[in-house]
Amino acid sequence: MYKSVDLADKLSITDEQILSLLEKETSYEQGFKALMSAYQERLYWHVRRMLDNHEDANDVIQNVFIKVFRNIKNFKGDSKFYTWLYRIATNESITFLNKRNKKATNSLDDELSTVAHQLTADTYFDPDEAQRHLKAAIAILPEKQKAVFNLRYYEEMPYIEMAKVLDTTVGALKASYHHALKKVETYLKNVEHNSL
Amino acid sequence: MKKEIKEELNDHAPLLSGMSRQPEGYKVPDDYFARMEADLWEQLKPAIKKVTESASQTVLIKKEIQEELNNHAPLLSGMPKQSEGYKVPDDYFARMEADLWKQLKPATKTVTESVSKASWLDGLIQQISWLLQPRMALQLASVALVILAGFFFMNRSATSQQTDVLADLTADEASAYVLANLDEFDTESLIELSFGEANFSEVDATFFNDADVDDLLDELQKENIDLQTLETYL
Repeated sequence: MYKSVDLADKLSITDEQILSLLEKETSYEQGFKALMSAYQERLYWHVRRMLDNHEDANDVIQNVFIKVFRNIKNFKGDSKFYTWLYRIATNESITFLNKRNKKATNSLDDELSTVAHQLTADTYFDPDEAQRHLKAAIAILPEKQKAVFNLRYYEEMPYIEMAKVLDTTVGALKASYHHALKKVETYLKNVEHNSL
Repeated sequence: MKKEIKEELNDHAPLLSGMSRQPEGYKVPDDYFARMEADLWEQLKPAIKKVTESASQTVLIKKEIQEELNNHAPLLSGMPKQSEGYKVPDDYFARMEADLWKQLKPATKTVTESVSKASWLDGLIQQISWLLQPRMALQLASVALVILAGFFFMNRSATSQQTDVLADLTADEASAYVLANLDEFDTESLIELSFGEANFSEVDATFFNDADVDDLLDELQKENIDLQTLETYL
């Protein structure tokens, strides 16, 4: 769920406080723990939805946090901290997906079977029938459109913040999200039709 | 309870027991308690406003997203967002923090050590950035990084006459010598002078690897890279 509009979270440690702790060597460990506590689950689930497979998500989320902590001094504050974090997580996920997809062949049939394999091979994926179809529908979206869909549908992020995460315009995002919705809906309709 | 307290006082402090508890002599400003609530409200108002605005924004966004779903994807609209079917190993999140700290703590130490060992390099970089305009320094930094990336690919270790000359000099002398004779140094020697072979492999293992160099360079091109950023990557 989109953190910055969550009432309970507003009352906990702020991003500014986390950054302040990370600035000093004496409070660095405390800052590290605060950042992990505030963001590890949110970013993991974002990455997991991008990659589906737990093992892949685990590799990527480790890289995300390593990059975050190694580059935290370069965070200039010209965007919100959580936007910066989501941007790193999204970029890492898309890079990973591109590499994974390069290994597969380009034919649609093979792509679909790869997606199906990713979903069925993961021992940490145990959905009901409807969710399995939904995940399969999302999995065949192009990488960036998948990120758009996930940030909007699952994270419930405003377009203006998504634009900062994905480095694009609000208009382009709206168009992309609506196309994604149509594709997912069509997939679900086909499944429903075939099951009759 | 009152009886018990009274008995304690009678038994152990009879003088105190006989004293009136009021008035104690304390005073407060006029209307203090009447104003306390208003004062506190004034102090908390900005924070409360922020929270309530945020909460209303949440409601609006949720409503907007639901309308999008209703209008464009009615089947999806009816599906629950919870119970996606994803699971994680037991204690996964509890262990993630500890595992990452193990990875990051030694890396932090290595970075600190590298900085002290290569302190004369810092001086060199500062002098170069002082000599050159910022734009030129930026270009030089970018070129240096590309050369460095190429070096990783080629995985060559080189020694040269120039590095031998520098072996017995102090950091400041070496820095001045390099600046005065920059044209005579080949790329490999400059890289070796900057890091030394031991530090080189540390950087290689912790950040660069063959598969990620392209990604890194793409990333740096997109970033507004400055000399400080470059030093962090190096």
